[in-house]
Amino acid sequence: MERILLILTPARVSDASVEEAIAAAATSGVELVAVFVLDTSISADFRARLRDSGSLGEAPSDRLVTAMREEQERQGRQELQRVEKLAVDMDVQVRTRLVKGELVRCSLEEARRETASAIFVTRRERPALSRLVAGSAVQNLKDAAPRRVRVHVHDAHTGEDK
Amino acid sequence: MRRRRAILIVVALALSAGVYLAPLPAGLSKEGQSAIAVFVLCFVLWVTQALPLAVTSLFAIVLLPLLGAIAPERAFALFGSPVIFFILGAFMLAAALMKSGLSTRLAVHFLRRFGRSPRSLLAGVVFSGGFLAFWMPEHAVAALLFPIVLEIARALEVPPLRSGYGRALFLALAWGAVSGGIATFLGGARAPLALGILGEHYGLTIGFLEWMVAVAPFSVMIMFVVYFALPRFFALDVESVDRARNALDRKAGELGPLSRRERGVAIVTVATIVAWVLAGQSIGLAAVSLLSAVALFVFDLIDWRSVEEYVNWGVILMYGGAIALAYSLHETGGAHFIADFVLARASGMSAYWMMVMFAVLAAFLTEAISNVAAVALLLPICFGVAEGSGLSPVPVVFAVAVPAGLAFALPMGTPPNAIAYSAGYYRLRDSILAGSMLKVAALLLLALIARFYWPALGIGG
Repeated sequence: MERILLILTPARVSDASVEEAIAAAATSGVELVAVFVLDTSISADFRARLRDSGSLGEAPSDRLVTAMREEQERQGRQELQRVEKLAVDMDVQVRTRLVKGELVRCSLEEARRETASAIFVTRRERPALSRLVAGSAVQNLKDAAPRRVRVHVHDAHTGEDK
Repeated sequence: MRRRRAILIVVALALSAGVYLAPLPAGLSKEGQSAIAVFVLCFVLWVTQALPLAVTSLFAIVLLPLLGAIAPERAFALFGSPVIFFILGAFMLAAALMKSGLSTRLAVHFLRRFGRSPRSLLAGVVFSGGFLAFWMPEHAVAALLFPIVLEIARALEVPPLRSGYGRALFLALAWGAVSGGIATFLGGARAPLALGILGEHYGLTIGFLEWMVAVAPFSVMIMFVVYFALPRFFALDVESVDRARNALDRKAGELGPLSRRERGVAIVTVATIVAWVLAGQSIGLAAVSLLSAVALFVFDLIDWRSVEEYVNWGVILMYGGAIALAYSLHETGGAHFIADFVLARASGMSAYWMMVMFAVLAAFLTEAISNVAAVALLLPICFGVAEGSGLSPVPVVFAVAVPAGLAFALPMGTPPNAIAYSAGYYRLRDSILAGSMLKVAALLLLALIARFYWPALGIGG
């Protein structure tokens, strides 16, 4: 049985994407699997940048990143509860999961495990220049997704669906 | 990611080689051309952060003598600038403040005093961050306030991204620390670095008190602007902060009574600040800073392992490279050449408008790159422009180093913004919109300060 996969991360949460995924699951009568990915590469990158340009040593940096990860996990669980409630209200069968890892790898693994026919994901808000210089994980996900999987991208910056 | 980094490094090297190998333009020496080639390399690498900032600095230190811009002995000697040792000592003092728990105690105490209503609690976050950033690096202030503000947000059950109060709280954390960080030499390395470049270029200096008297009132004004602006941008959708107060009371209870170590660190900190004010000019800021670091060990207030854990030594390397780059640009005439080339139109400007122009440039450059890098790149060029029009270098330092600390809009502008953004309570568009307005307000205030207040202190064209 095919399923619809909704990928959320701390920086990639949008009401529009959640509503679209639930609506798509309701229309096609399939199960929705909502996965909140705690992207460890982002916190590692954040830590590296902080160390690079700031005066903070190892100990306060570690404490800061631990506090940040705990908060993101808490927010992730809250967001999954919200999605679950919205889906149940729409009579959509739903399962939720919180995973830790890199966005593209985790999303593809979940898509394979759940035999997903579609992935709904939000492109996080950031300046176009930053995307140009540093690349886009969502674009990498689109490029790497198997042909049978449709990737619906909601751009949090422009509000457009792609 | 690796490929992009490699491309950026190749682009930086190619641009730098292009400058180095280009036919020598009239009015520029070969040494000046070499210095500009290294400047271009550093500019690209600091802006893109394709390499760690400190590594780019090390690259500059090696390239400057290799390309013949300055002698190797001089390049390496610039790492021994007193400013580097001032920053070292200040970082060690900040490490003791954090390690002893005194900084957390001060923050909690301050917040408890303010936490009576949503508005006053917001004021507490702005002013406690600002006040602490007077005496320790703003990055460290944001890091120590982060878990406290998180606890407040959790206690108040403000939903991330959906609460105006949640947005205001975390922006208050970032902007309070940023506003306070400009007030003294301790809030960040920008001002000490500018001081180092000023000293190497002209043999001039600015006293600890002189800087504070000139900049602290402006810093406090911005804190008030932040405090009044936040409720205009974000609805304070919380009726009571009693639960936050309870959380702060609990936190204060966990801290227990003031320890011997905290008391000792407090005494050394106060004594150091008094010495910087009273004896900074006569024995030197760096000497006071290092004596303070020694005192911390003599009185057993910190151990070396903690200093290693709390201080990011790598970033110190950046300052030495930045000073060497600025020195080489000045000595070889490279800075004058860039100034003539890029800012030729500035030649007819009055000293005041030139300072305003420098401030605007610094304020916007600092949003995109590290604020220390902004000072390192901009100050030598601004000195070049100012020299051509008779503007004294001291006001140039204020005009560049102060606004270079005012990064409000983007997370990459300064670590406090990145730290606050990482909590996930506000969107990028929130900080861009409100931060840009705040930036304009801060620049207008700075223009007024430069027009009416600084000349009264003898700082002016």
